[in-house]
Formats: sequence, structure tokens, C-alpha cells
Amino acid sequence: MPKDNNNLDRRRFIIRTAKAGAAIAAAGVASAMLYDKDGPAPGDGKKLVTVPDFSVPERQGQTISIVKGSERVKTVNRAIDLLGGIERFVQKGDTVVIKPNVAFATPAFLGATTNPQLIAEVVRLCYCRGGAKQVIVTDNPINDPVSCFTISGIGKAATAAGAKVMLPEGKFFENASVKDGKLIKDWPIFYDPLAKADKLIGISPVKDHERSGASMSMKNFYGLMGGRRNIFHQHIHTIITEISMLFKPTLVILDGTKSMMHNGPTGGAVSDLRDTNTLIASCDVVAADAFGCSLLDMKVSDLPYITMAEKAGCGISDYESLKPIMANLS
Amino acid sequence: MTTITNKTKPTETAISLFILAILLLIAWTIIAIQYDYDMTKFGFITDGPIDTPKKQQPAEAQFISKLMPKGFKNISRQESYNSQNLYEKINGKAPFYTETGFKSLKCQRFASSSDENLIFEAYLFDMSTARNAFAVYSVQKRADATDIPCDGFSYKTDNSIYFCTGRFYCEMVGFALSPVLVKAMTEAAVDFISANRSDTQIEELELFPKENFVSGSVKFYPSDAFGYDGFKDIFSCHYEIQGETVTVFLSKRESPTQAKQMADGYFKFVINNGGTVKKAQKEILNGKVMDFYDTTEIIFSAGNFTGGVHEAQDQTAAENIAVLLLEKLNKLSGGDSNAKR
Repeated sequence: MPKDNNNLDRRRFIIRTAKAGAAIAAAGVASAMLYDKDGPAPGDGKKLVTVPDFSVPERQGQTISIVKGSERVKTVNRAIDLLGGIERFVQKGDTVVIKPNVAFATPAFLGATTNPQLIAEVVRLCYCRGGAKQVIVTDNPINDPVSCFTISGIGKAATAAGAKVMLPEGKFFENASVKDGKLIKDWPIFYDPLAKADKLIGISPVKDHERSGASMSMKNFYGLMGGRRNIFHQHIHTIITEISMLFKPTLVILDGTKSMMHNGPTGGAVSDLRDTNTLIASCDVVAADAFGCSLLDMKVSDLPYITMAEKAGCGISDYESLKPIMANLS
Repeated sequence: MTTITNKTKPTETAISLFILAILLLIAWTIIAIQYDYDMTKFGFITDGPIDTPKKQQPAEAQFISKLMPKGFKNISRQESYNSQNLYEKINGKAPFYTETGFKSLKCQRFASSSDENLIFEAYLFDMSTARNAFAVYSVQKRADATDIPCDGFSYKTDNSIYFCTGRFYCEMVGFALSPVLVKAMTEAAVDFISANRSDTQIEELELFPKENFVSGSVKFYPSDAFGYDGFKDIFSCHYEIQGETVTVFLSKRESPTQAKQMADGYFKFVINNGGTVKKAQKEILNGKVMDFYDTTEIIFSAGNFTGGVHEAQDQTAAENIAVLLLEKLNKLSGGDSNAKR
């Protein structure tokens, strides 16, 4: 009989098959246990932070003011005074964070960024009348921050008025989520200035926007988002809504002195701007934008994020029901 | 007693080892990818098509510097963007370009050597084709534009210059309201256009009759031209005929069938919205002329082209220009226009 026999007998075949089957089953179980159907999460395991609610108590009839005029220093003073003065919003010893739109490295006269004169005046009001301990002016621009703050004139104006300009750095970001949010889940936000703040004031121009239709008070706070936030552009109305759920400012100032009617958000030609000579101060971001869209010849229904934010409890789109206080300095 | 040994052949061992090596390689790759959350390194992105940046061509790198006027100097490094990071420069405006054939953007700032307050930033978009470049130029054209006489399409505003030539669309945005700055940018733009005159012309623009054509009136509608959602990629322009302004439009389709379908679709759209067929003054336009609330609409197809006249006040002027265009298209396609339209 031959000593070497490579033929399997039945017993050996069954044993080998069983071993192979067990190996395949083990691999399958291991795969199932390691399978992550949600894919990699944007966060990196950091503890989530909670963004404070910076809003002030409501006062009937003093939620929104609308002032006509071409001189920003005058209109912003009147607009804030009509809501009770800066003293209603800023108290002695407060740290105030001002969030302007510093999105682009373009000069102020092109209207793509917040007017530096306006920022300087609000900083002055916070210090001189509000008694603020510190005012921080900050944004997380998509463009290079140094270029943006320099070329827009905002850095110089803010510093000259006594504010601290805070540029974004990686260590200033923490992760946050919006309760019941679909998009903002464990997502980095520019948190450090907010952690120091007692009050948050948004100041933004009125602009046409290629993607969302308009860029005004609510969209301004997109600049506090970190990470590859452009992935939200395809859900622009939802992300603006969730941003409004996340950031609740003390006051927003919507500068419609010159509104960018076309080719937003970048603009580029002075002819993209129209003299709409209107400035809005509001404790309600939704109401501010609901009025602001009229400066762009739009209706609330043209901007789905306004209605979505209202449904999410961020404010009231029927600004008339808030009895806006009007003034004319023309 | 028989001893049974289980000795595998060398070939079997080799094959087994090879399969194991493949499995290990797969496992390693999965682990490496899963533990690196920056998915873009591996081409997985969530915001648009993959466009791997190609190695910058030396010639392309020089293009933006050709926009520097005499007596100016560059004051910033050249910036380059592709479809993945275009949003970093122009934010929410990026999809407008990436959805229109965008390939790359080069930017740089320049300042006058004699007056450093005279600064402008040049944005040079490579839109892949002359048609795409014209599309983005035309859609964004400012109402107060002043056309610049040149070989391409160009206009200026109080502070900026815009032009397209070949596959390039360019914006030169002045950082000051200065006629001196605008003049310098204009000269640089004209020189650039002359040096980069492209052979890739847009066929429709070459086909519009030249007589009575209003310079600078060409407009491009990527979609929804004249309120009709079936009207895509439509070029229009104006003619001044005996004091009347006539809007003529034209579009090249993939085939004569498509051209006819577009023409038929627009005809039905006009009729469904209150238009009525009216007798043509010129026999060749029979069945192609409609009255739409006391204005004249003309629609036809010839070969691969759909063309016509939109909202003309004067039927005679409208038909005159329509016939010129139709005859040109018929000659090109080598036959008569479609019997119905």
C-alpha cells in the first residue's frame, strides 16, 4: 500500500469543511461587529459644548426697530436707542462678542463685508455707554482671516475703537450639536470667544446670495462654524435654520444702508449695490431677516430658511406683529 | 498498517499564501482608511465631483501675470483653486461656476507702483470651453455696464472690468473708485484678450446676422429663457431696425430632431399662454409666426438650430430679421427648415 495518500477520507473532509465554515462565520461576525453604517463622524471624540443663550428678556413693543437714513453712525444709535439703548443689552463688566461678516478680503465700499464704521460705533457704545469690560470682534472667514480683517478695514476699525480682534485658530474650536438637528451633529464651532462672552451681537450687511437667496442676520452666524462647512451648501436652508437654533444672540444689527442686489455674496462692482438707506436693530433674528428681504425686493416666501427657522422656534417672521418702531433720519 | 499523510503540494501552498497576502492587504487598506477621517485624501468627497488638481502647467501659471498693467506690481502671491476648494475663495458663489464647467481659478492682487492705493484683484476662471466662459460672463453682466471695444466680450463698471475670451472668464475688481485704475485695468484686459484670442468660437454668435446688430446685447440663458423651462442654452441679442428693437434668439441642439422638439415645445408654450397663430408676411415663415398680446413671436428650427424672435413690437421688422437668420441656417444645414416649424 502506498505510504503517501493525498486523498481525503470522509471524516477528514467533514472536519476541514467545518473548520472553513467556522472561519467564514467568525469573519462575518467580526465584520458585523465592526461595521459602522453611519460612516466616520465629523467629530473626533471631543466632548460636546453647549452654546449659551445670549438673548435678553423680551420687552413688548421693543423687539425690532427700523431706521431710515444714510449715515450709519446716526442710524445705528437711533435704532438701538429705540429698543431701550445699549444699556438694555450690555451691562457694566460684560464681555461682548461682536460677530460681523468678514467673509471676504475686499474693501468696505464693495459691500461684501460689514461696514467698519458701524463696527467701530457699536464697539464704542458697548464701552462708553454699556460699560463693557471687553469687546471682542471675531469671525471665521473662508478666505485667509488676516487678509479679510485687513482689507475689509474691520480689523483696523475694531482695534482703533478698543476692541480685541480674535482670529480663528484650531485650539479655539470645540464640537457642538443641535438638539434634533440633522446637520449640526458633533460639528466644530468657533467656541472660544463665546465661552468668554456675556453678550453676542451680530452685525451684517444685506446681500443677495447665489445659494440661499439672501445673506443677512441669520446667515451671518455661519461664520462661527468650523470644519468643511461648505458640505452644507447643498442643504443651505436647513443649515441656516440649525445655525439659528444653535446661536441665540443678544441683538442683531442688519445694515441695509447699501444692499447688494445682485451677484452676491461676493459682488465686485459698486453697481451691484443699491442705496436702500435702512438699518434694522432686532432681538429677533427671524424678524430682522423677514423685514430685510424686502430691501432685496424679495418676499419671505422666497427665502425658505425664514419660515423653517420660525417653525423651529427661532423667531417670528411676521415682523409687523412685533410692532416695529420706525424712525426716519433722512 | 497504512499510514496516511496529508502532504500538500508546493503549488497549493503558494496559492494559499498568495490569497492570504491579498486578504491582509485588503484588511490593511480598510484599517488605514477608516482611521483617517480626512476622507478627501482618498478621493471621497461629499460636495461635488472629484477633480484631482493637475500639475500646474508653466504656461497657465503665467496667465494671471499677463493681467498686470504697465506700471503695476504684484502685491500678493498667486492663489489657485479647483472645484474642490473654490468655495474657499468665493464661498456661496462657487456652485454657480462648478455647475457650469469650471476647471480652475487663479487670483492675484496688483498695485500701482506710483500710487499704492490703486489696487485691484484679478480673478481668472478657466471654464473649460468658450461657451461656458460666455455663459458665466453673460449671466452676471451688470446693467450699468459700458462695453469695451475689443476682440472678445468685455465691459467695465465704475470700479471693475469683466471679460471673456476663449475658455477664460475674468474679473478685475478695483479696490478704489478711480478712473486711473479702471483705465489701467482696461488696457491690460484688452491686451490679454488680443493675446489670447481663441479659435473656439461660439457658433451661434457667428450666425447672428451682422446688419443692425446692437453691440454688447448678446445674452446667454442657461435655462428658462423667456419663462419657458424647455428653453436651455439660448443665445439672444438685439437689433435696431428703423427705430424698433427686435430680440432674436438662437440655440444649437444635438440634432435636427432635438431642434424641432424645442421649437415645437416653445410654440405650444406660447399658444397655451394666450398666443395665437397669425398670418406671416413672408411665405417662408408661414405657421411660424404668432401674436402674443400684441407682440410678435416667431419660432423655427433649421438643421440643428432652434431660432426665432421674441416679443417684437413690429411684425415687419421681426420677420425681416427672422428671414435673414433662417436663410443663413438653411444654407448651413443644406436644406429647408422643418415644414411645421
